[in-house]
Amino acid sequence: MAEPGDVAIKDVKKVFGPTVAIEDINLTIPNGCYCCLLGPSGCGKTTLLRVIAGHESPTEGDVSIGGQSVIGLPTGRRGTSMMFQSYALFPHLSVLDNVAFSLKMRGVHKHERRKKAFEVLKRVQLDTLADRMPAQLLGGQQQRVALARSLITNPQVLLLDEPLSALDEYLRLQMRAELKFIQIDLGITFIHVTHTQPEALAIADLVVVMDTGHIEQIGTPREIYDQPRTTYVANFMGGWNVFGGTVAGLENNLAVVKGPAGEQFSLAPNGKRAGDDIDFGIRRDKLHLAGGGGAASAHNALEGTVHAIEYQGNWVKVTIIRPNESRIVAVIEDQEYFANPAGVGDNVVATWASEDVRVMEKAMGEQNLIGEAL
Amino acid sequence: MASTRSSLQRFSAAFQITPLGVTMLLFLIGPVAVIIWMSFHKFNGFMTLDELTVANYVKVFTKTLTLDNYLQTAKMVAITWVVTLLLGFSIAYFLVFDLIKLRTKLLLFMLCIVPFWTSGVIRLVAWVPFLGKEGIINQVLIGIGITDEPFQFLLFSEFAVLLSYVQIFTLFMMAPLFNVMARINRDLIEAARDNGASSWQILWNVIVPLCKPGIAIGTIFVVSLVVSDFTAIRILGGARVGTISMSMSNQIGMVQYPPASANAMVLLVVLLLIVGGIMRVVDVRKQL
Repeated sequence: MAEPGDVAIKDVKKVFGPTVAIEDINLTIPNGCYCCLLGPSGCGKTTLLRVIAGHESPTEGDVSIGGQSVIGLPTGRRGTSMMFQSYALFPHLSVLDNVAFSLKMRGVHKHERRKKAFEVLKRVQLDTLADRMPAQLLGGQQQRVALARSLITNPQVLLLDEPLSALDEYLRLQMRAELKFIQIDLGITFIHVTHTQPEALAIADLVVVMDTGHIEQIGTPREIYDQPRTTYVANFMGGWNVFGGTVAGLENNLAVVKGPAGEQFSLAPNGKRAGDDIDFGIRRDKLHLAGGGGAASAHNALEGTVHAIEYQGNWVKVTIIRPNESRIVAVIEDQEYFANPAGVGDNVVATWASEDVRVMEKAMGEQNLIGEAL
Repeated sequence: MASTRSSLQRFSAAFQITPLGVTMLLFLIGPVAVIIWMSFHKFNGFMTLDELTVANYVKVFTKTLTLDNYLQTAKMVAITWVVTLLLGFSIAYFLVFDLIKLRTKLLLFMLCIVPFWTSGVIRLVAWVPFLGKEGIINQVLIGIGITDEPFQFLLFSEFAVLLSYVQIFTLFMMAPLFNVMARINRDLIEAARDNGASSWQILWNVIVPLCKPGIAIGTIFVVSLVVSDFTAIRILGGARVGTISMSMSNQIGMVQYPPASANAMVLLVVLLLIVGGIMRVVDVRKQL
């Protein structure tokens, strides 16, 4: 039995002229779930949101909400409501009339719709600004008006397009907690598009990582961060050092892997056999640092020069540049670091245990990275 | 030191506004002052006397012809305004919302400007072979058997004048509307749709209200252009259309400068009131 806020997307493809915006999208979002569509700009996450909202119709595939296909159903009759990145408040209407807009469209009498809009404004703590015009509000207040305007339609699914990107850091953290609170309070489905990894990890029940038009991984925030399926997800989410190599042989149930620069790794083979290419990663916080010298022969030990040290309170981020110019980042607990601190320019060896290595699939398509977020 | 600098700044500011100031003085304030001066001169029916009087104004306000002229002008303004507004809005809407390619938009916009590459009089005279008794339209209508007699109302009539007004002034309504429409954030339209608005509801509740400044500017253009025109009436109206500018033009033709000046001053005040009224209702400044 489908619940009203269930969203199911099946084999959806959207083509704009010669460009494929999204392809092979299969996604099921249960009722009352806070889902984040996460990916760099141009990955198709907003297109997917607009397909769900009905602002675009999919070239192929099906979208159903509450168990019913909504293909062909106009926007505004799907039980969805969209919050725009630009907020899209009507500049000629007061805050109250902005919120009451959908009721006006349904022919609700002026007195009644204003009363109802006022109640919703109270919920987002904007009742004192009901008579202002949108241009007189601050960014955060405009956002609340946009939220109120969406909520008044009693949506089963609220679609949020980069809702926090225009706010400053402080408001962003405050507002994201508030969004999560409202979502839990209403018990409806939220689909939130973002390119900010910590944001997705912090509020989502379900994270969908996208890249160049397809879904790379669907999972809980912990799964996405701790068990990235592909090297793309690991690189995009950050927090991982990603390597590749060829399996040279098996020893004691461990695969011995040779890296392109002659590095020696040992890790669980994960079904790979000698001669296979293998990609894997190690979380930054699983690395340990030791003084330089004698690393070349050891397994799971990479030598390099300390390039930067960033103290972060309870942990220290150490960036190491290897002789082949590639970078490793180690995140060391403060106590461990200060027991044996390394300085910029020092030669160090980063080591890790074989069981901390996670084998990943090579990312398909082009890698579309925007820096390291975590 | 500080005072030298501020006086220098003051001089520099005065220097910068000088060209505009001189131009306004020579071509706006000067002529208006002359007209005001002239309007208070006595006129004995044949010549202007060197004697001051308010008789010209008294005449303007007491003659029934004045009211007739103003009513006729108002009628022409109203019809032209409605038609140019409908046409201008539709064309601007088509250019902004229906066309996707910027190049096509600009090309079609340019096409609207092409008629203005020729002289205004030619533009008017060009209607004659179309609308005349033996003109193309009448010949076609007779040819396909819609009528046996040529339609007389087509040329040298109010219809011909209005037709030329619509042809020329639609652009003045369309351009400001195009400008404000192009600035409407598309998200607003999608947000309205998301809130359950139909296409008509979006038009009335979002697009039209946001177009108000454009409508206001276009209205100011069209009203002042129609009110001040007498060439189109001369060429296409066959002296049958008695507007206020036509009567002024006639007075000037008969060297009746003082009454013409008084008429002009009254018209100027009426126009200023209309423009002032529009500016009060719609905040045009945002669009300038």
